[in-house]
Amino acid sequence: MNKKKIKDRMRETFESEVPDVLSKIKASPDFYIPEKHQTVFGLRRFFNKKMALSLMSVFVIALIVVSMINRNNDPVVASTLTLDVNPSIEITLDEDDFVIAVSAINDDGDEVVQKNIKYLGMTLDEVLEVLVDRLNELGYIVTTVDDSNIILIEVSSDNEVRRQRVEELLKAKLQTEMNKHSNSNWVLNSRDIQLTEEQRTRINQDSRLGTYTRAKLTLMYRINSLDSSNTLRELEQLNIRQLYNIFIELEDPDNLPDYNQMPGRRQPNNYNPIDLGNELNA
Amino acid sequence: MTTKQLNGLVKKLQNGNMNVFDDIYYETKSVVYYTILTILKDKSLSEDIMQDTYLKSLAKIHSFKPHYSFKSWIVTIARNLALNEYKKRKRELSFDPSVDEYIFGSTKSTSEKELIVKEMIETLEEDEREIVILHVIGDLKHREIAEIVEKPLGTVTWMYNKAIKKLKNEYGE
Repeated sequence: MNKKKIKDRMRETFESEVPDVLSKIKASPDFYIPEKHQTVFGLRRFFNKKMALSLMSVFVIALIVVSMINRNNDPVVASTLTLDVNPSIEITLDEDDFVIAVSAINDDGDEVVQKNIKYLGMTLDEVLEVLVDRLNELGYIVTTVDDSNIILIEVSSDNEVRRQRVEELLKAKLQTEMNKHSNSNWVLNSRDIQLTEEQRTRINQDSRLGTYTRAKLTLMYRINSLDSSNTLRELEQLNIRQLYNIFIELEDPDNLPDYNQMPGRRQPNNYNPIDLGNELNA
Repeated sequence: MTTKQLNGLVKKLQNGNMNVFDDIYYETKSVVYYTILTILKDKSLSEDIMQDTYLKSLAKIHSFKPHYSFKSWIVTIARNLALNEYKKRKRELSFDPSVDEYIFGSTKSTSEKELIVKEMIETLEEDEREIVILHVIGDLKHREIAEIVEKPLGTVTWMYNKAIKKLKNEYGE
């Protein structure tokens, strides 16, 4: 028996055994053709699964594109940090801690910030590596064994958690980078310098804020408050290391949690901080 | 009746001509019935689901697209309804359609042809039965069957040939 014969036999046998339910179907109240809705443009019909998925994909892509354009064209400054080594530099970061800009606050800073380097988009680690290498190249990092490099920093942000995070990152990375070049260095955070509210307000209104960093002004105001014979006019002429030397001599050790580790702290006899400062920054 | 002719009748039905329903029914009832029976293995239950299949196809008739094969379309409805019923029964009762006694109900078969059908079906495995019925009774192409049973075309062709070989060995004289 060939294939065709088997098929024919099966078909004939099977078809004769099919029950007839036609009369039952016709007797059913559902035996009718529903009206065709041709002209109604239903939202449900339009927004089927495929359409919804397509629209959603388009929306997500549009969102990504818009966010990328916004990020590239108009980055929002989420935190600002300043470094004073004596060159003073300001770095602004976006909310993901990527660099938006690096700018010089003073003339020495101008030398450090190179025009041919694209800082935008760098991570904090990358930008610090570049800047510290440049500081070393220009001779701002002291490499002798009997001297220390003092770096004054300040981080500001609207978000306290972000500020703390960036501050920790900055301190840790600065120390790592500085350790590559110098035997001794100290990162002084301007937030550890105690000021009254009135002094802070005065700093905010100080016209020198455009010329010096807030951190340097903070250090100057604190020295001035500890010893008014050091006038602000005189102090502004000094570099960070000289200011630090005066500060460490005048400040109450109880106000500085890390006083015992800080370099150049008060010596027992006949110690002149101004002389030491001049020596260090000669 | 060719697919084109059948689709022509369906077009008339879509336009509200209920007179063509009988022709459509007689052209498709075998494949609809055996598709359901292969899944449920219960004659009486299969009749009920067969009835539901035609009523549902009427209710959804406007969603049928003329470029598609009506037989494939109605077989898909029948298959889905049968599978739903199968799952429902399996949940509710200790219904075991894999037991062969359920084929054609618990009553003893008297018709000679019925016995042949029963034997033929029992010779084949589950998947083979469905494919053979859709091809032989439903006149559906292997490509259409592959879409309905959601299997690759190659698998469908291979299974069909295997099934026919089995039947040939069994009934070849």
